[in-house]
Amino acid sequence: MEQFALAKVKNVRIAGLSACVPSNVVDNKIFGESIYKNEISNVIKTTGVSERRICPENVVTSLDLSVRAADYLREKSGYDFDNIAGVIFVTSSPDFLMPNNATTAQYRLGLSGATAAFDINLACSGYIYGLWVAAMMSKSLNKSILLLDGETNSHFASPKDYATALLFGDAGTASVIEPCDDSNEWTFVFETDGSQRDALIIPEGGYRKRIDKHSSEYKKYPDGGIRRGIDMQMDGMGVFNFVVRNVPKSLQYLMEETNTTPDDYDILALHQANLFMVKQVAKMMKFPMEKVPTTIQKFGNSSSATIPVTIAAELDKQISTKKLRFIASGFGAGLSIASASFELGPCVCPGVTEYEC
Amino acid sequence: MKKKIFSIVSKIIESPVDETTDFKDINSLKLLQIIMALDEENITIPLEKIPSIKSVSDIIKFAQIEG
Repeated sequence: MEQFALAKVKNVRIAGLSACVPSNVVDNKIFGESIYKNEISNVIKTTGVSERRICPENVVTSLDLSVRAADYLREKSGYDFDNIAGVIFVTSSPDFLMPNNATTAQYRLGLSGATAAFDINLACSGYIYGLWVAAMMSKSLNKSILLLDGETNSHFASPKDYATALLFGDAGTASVIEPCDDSNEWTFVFETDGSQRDALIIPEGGYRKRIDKHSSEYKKYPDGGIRRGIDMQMDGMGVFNFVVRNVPKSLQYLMEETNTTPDDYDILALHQANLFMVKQVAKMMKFPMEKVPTTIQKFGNSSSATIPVTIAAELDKQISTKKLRFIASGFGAGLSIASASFELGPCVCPGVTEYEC
Repeated sequence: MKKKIFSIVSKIIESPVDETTDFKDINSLKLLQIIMALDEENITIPLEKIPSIKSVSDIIKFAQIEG
C-alpha cells in the first residue's frame, strides 16, 4: 500500500505574502521560571523558544492577526484585492465554532460578495494544505485566492503543563495565490494517521465532549501536566516518534517524485515545532542549516502559521527580488504531514508587521 | 564513553545514574535535553532511535561517536 498521497498543480504562483504577530513579547526565561525552575535555560535551549508573541485572550484572535496581515500586504503592495474571488482561512483557533473565520474576513477586508470563503481546520500541516487547495481553487475560479493562516495556540497551552507551557506563540499570515501561465509545477505529498488522534488534542470544547462546569478547572493528569479540559494535551514523544519516522520519508518521496536532490533547493522550510526537531530533520535530509530558516527563537511555535511567518520574517528581501526553490513540510495534530515542492518569488513580501496589544 | 554518558545524563536529571537507571519518570522534553547535551559532546543518537530510549542502557546501545 502507498504511504503518501501525491498531488500536482500547474500554472499558479504566490503573488504576495505577509505576516502579523502581536506586539506583546513574552520572555520565556521569566515566564517559565515558576514551572521549570533551574531547568529553564536548558528547556529554552532544547525548544529554541527564547521569546514568543502572545495576544490577549478574548481580545485579539487569529482572525484579527490574519486580517491585519492581509491589510498590510494590500497597503504595502498596492495589490488589487478586487482580483480575489476566494478566501481560505486555515486555523484550529477560530473566533467561533460557527460561522467560520473566512466569511468574516471577506467582510472585514471589504471583498466582493462574489467570493467563495471557507475554513480549513488543520494544525501544523495546515499551510501546505492551504497552498494546495488555494492553487486548485485559483485555477478553478481563474482568479486570485487569499489564503489566511492564523493561530492563537498560546490561549490553549496551559502555563502549568511542562510539555507545552512555553512553546506556543500567536500569529496571522496572508498569502495571495493567483493563476499564472508560465510557472513551475507545484508538487504535494500528504500522509495521515488518525489512529494517533490523542497525541495532540484539545479534549473538551467540541461536540464529542462539550464544555461543562469542570472544563475550566486545572487538574493534574497522569502525564504530570496540570491543565484544563479546554487546553491542549500533547504526547511529546508520540508526536516526535511520528515526525522522525515519517517527515524525512515524506521529503525523500517528494524529491524522488520531482527528480530533485537537496542541491536543487534554496530553502527547506520546516514547521517550527521546536528547534531540536528542525535541526535533526535538516541533518537527516542533509540540508545545511543555512538553507533552513528558523524563527521559533523569537516567535515560538504558531502551529500552521510557522511556515509563512518564517518566510515573511527571514526571506522577505530575497523573495521580493528573486525566485527561490522551496521544499517545505508541516506536521502535527491528526497526526498529519503535508510536504510540498514549489517556487516562490519574485513576489510582494513586505515582511512581518505587529499588532499592538 | 559510558562515563561521559553517565556524567551528562546525571547532570540533566540531577541524580546519579548507572546502566540500570530507567527513564520512566522522565518526560519527553527532558529526554530531548539529554539527547541534545550528548550531541554537543559529539555523542549522537540516531534520530529514529530516540523514541525507543527508555533507559541509560538504551543510550549506551544506540550512541555513536561523531568526528
